[in-house]
Amino acid sequence: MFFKRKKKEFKTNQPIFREKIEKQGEELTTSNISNLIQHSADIVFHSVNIRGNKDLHVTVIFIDGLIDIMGMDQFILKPILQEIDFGKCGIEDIVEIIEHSTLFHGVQKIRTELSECLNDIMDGSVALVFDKAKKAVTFEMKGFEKRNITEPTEENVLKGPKDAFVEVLRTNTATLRRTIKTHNLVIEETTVGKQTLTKVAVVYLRGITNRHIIEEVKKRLDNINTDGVISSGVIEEGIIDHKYSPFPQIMTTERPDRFCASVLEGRVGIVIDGLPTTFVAPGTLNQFLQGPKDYSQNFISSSIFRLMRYVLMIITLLLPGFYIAITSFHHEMIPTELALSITASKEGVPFPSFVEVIFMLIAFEALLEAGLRLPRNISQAVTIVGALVVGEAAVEARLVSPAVVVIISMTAVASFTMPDQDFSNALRLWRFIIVILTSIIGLYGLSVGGLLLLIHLSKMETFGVPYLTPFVATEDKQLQDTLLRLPLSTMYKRPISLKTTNKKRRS
Amino acid sequence: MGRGIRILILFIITMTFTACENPIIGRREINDLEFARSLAIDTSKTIPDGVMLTLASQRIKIGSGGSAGETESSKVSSEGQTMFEAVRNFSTYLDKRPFWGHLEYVVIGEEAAKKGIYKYLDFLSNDHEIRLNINVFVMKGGRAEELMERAERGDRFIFDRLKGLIDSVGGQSVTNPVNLIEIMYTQDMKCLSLYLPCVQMVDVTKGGEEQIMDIKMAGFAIFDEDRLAGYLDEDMGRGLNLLRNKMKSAIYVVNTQKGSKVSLEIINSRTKFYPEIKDGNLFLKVKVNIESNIGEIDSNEDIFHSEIFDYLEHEHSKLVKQEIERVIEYAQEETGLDFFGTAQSFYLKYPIKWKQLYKKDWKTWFPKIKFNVTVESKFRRTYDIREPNAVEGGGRQ
Repeated sequence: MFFKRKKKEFKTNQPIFREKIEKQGEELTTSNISNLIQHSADIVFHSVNIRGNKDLHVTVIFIDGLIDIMGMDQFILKPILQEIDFGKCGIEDIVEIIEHSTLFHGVQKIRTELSECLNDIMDGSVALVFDKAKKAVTFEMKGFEKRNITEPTEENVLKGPKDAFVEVLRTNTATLRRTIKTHNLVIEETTVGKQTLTKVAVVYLRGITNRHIIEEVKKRLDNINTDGVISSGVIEEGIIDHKYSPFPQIMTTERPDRFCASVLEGRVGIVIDGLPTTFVAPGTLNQFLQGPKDYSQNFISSSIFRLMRYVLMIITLLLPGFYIAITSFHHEMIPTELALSITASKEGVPFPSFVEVIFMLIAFEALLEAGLRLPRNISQAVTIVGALVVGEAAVEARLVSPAVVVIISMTAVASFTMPDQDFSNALRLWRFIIVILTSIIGLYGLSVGGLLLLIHLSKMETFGVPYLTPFVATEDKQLQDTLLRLPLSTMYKRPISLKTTNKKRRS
Repeated sequence: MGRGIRILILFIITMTFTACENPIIGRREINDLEFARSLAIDTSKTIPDGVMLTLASQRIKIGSGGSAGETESSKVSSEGQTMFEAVRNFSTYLDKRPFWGHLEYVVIGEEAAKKGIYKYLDFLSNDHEIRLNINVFVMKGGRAEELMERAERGDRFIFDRLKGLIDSVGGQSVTNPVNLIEIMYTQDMKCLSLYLPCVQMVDVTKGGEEQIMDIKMAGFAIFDEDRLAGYLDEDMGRGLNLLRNKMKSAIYVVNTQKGSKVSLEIINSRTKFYPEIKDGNLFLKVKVNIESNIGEIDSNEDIFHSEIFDYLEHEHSKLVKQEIERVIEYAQEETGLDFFGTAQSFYLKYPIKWKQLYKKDWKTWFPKIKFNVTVESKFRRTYDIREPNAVEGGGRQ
């Protein structure tokens, strides 16, 4: 912000599972596995003999609840134990036979390392452990309960697909594959979180997305040193450049169409297992002012709405500060009639405008938080109480003037038009800074606050891309999709700032 | 927490929480101010050579439930030896501090104008709150404070009346508003005399006991240096506006040969000075081009013939020429003041010669200028009245 940040040296950690190998280094046997995980009640160890032969001893290990037990019985246990005649084969031969598709199962792996086998079990596989051969065969048989694909809750759009991302990574990647069918769509996976071992997929288009951005995203994901990925903030804070900025630096979306549009532009998408929100990097300022409906509407009307959104951004940022400036410092800035009516409305109010504005802003923030926390049927009561208490009673009691109520409600309504919640929150914070600066030195403070914000924004860079692109681009100005949304035919190039390998959208 | 943030927090605390005094310099809440909207300047009644100011301000009374109710205006007078002192003395009579940022109209009383206006203008142009685009008037035949006190009618306050007059001044062009900055500019131009618009009180009593007064615009006041030298009436005011190229619109009534009155609406006028210095004598050719519409014919005479048009145009030119020549005559013979900027036109054509020979004693040279006024009138449009009503076969059937 106002001072230099210490540059951190990133230590390249080894991926987590490799650490375990070095530590354990033990043989893959049932007893070793059970030493590690036998205390959990939901892990099932089941010893069986193939066709009743005591020499052909095998242990079935799986986690109850994560796998499809019916499928396991039918396609794994029944053929091994009853149907297939292994003859006089030894245990090694049986492993080999199973490996070469004796069983009807698509995803099966031969594991010789203990930790690999453990990871498979934890991930929802059934493991057949052959003690004598020190080998295991794992079959992926995920069969846990999951949520259906529902309509997006936060980003609604009139015309356009109604599906949203869900918690399961594989479902999400399948959705992406269904939208972008080219073989160039690459979905790479890595694991983040020492304990949660969350799978994180990096999605990009080979031959289009800039190689350096992909490498940077992967490097930063690997560098995240954390216990677990429970909230999206772990990933977001782990990979952004400027942690001390309130502004969002990667775009968050729950809509596959928006995600795919960004990937097609040449950005890198990040899908996290267990979270229905996805990230797109690098995020630039103009992205946070693009509404989801912009591209499905007529370009003239969406251009006007887009332009209005920028104006509303300035209003929500500066209006309370401007009000303080004109009522406390620069009374000559407004028409006389307005000055007179503000004077009349402030008659009998004991506080200076600054206190009034801060009071109302805090009340508004409190209402907002209360509305979020409470269950839906109670939160309606909060709005009624809030509107009555803040709007009516405070004015009646001469705690605040009606003019301030109007100003703050305009600010609030303007902030609700921001398409991105994180961006809106950042503006909320800067609004306070500007209000405080303005209450000290009037309009001069307003401009100082605005300048500080501009300096802050123009200093930022996300994944090597200036945050304010394309407004500050030094190369070709690409302004078709910024303040206005020109027809899609004019956007024949991908964003230049992303330095994509393939510059043109149409070949 | 970085060092920067700590310093910032300390800075804000030291700026805002410093004991009980108002820590923030220059902060004044809007409801602690009295918005002066018009100001009357007069000579003092008690202090010799002093100043008396009358301030008119407006306030909106709050009705029940915080809604804005009626507006009311108040007038306060204060006296002092100088403008600044009188302004400060207002605080004796007002419960709020007067604020001059919204001052729009300044009216100078006749007596004060006769004694010289420079001593008032200095404060007006120096004070940081007062804007330079305020309109300055001269009160013709009276004290300006009377205007503030008596010229209000019902809910129309004095500044609303003045504003209305200024806004509609272009329709008649009998006078023209002058800003403070124009006055300052004229002050710097030594050869140019100042003129200011006049307001006058009119009795509009219709029976009843109470005397009701209203105001109207009444031509211009002409100043010699800073002292009031004389007035131009409405017609001459129109002539001055023509000379200064400030004519917006006006109605001229011209008679035809048969005696019907034709109203001409000026839509465009352009005046050009062609100065010439010949053998040490000054000549100034004034060329006026006027375009007008035929707005009205008060009889059923059919005037839409080129001969009648020629006649009307000739008559109109004569009328305009008369007006202009009256102004020039007044300027040259009665006052000897150059208030329509001839000096500038000579300077622009003969910069060196004028500066060397004429600039010093322009006052003696100005009455000797030989003016030659030519007016060219043209009718542009006749609106929809192709032929007046009741003409056989004409008009709308």
